[in-house]
Amino acid sequence: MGERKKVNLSSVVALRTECDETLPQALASLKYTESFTVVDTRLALGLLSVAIAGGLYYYEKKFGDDLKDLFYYYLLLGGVTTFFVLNGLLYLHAQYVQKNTKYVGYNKDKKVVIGTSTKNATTPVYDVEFKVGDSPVAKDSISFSELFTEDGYLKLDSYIGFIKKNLEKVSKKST
Amino acid sequence: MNLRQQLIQGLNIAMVVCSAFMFWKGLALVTGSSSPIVVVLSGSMEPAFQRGDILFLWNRNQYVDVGDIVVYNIKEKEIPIVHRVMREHKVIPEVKTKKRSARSKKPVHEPGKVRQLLLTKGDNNPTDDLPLYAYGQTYLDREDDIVGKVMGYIPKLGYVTILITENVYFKYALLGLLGLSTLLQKE
Repeated sequence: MGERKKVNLSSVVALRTECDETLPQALASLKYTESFTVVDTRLALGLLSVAIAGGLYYYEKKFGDDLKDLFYYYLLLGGVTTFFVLNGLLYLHAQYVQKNTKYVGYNKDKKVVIGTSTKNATTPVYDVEFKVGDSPVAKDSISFSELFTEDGYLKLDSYIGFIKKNLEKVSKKST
Repeated sequence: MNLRQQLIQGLNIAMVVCSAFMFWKGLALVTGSSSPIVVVLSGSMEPAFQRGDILFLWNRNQYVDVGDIVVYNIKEKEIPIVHRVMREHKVIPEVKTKKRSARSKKPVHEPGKVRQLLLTKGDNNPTDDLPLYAYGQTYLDREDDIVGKVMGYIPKLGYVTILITENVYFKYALLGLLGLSTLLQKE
């Protein structure tokens, strides 16, 4: 892996983002394989709607913007409807499927789901939810000051240690 | 940074542009007008509209009435014009039938397609729009030329677009400010 980037320590969002983006690396080192189903679903829905918008734009530039042309009218109607339906699906997916999930992975057929959040922009505490297999969701928090050096670099070992400790704790509860 | 994260980020940016475009197209479908929101560019409709007013158009009525303010396009001219309808004629096309009934001298009329022809004028202009129309054109066709009828407006809000298109310094100042804000913004 490349060098870690320097993070603005006064920005809770930046700290959370850095931790979130390091999750795959941390869990890979703990022998977990990431599953991309959630993110791929979003990518598919998103790319499809962008393709629809792009197609309509191309058609308009090529054949003119004449609503009296019935074919164009119904093409537009179908395209616009599909676009907003897809966007609605993306919204529902974010609300009810993705939620705060940042990582989904497997280790020997055991599914692990990790969700992260911060309370607000002024509380530098990383709230993490762990779920292994069919265990109940376990919550743990850690202050960002324990995870980052004074000059703004993530302490990868402490971070992996924090995740490992929690995963082991939760794994014992799961059947 | 993996490929999926980059794709998601690109997608988020693309989605902003696409949503704006699709919202515009949706509005066009609802109003029946290919350009449902326009900005007044000239003072020819003062005191009703000033330069920079934003107009909302509706184009789902079969006919427009005398006194309505409409936006129209002239063939081979790019800028739409906002003016008031002064006169209208409805033209009922004759059906070309070879066998016309001997008793009736009246031409047989097709019941369907009636064309409405319009003459427009700017409230603030001394004469009607005949000189503005294309060469040889003596009327506007409701169906072919009218972009929509004005249903509402917001005063002055569109002046920004006039400043951007007509004032180079304003455009560069705005671009500079945008650039500066992205540079100074924390990620």
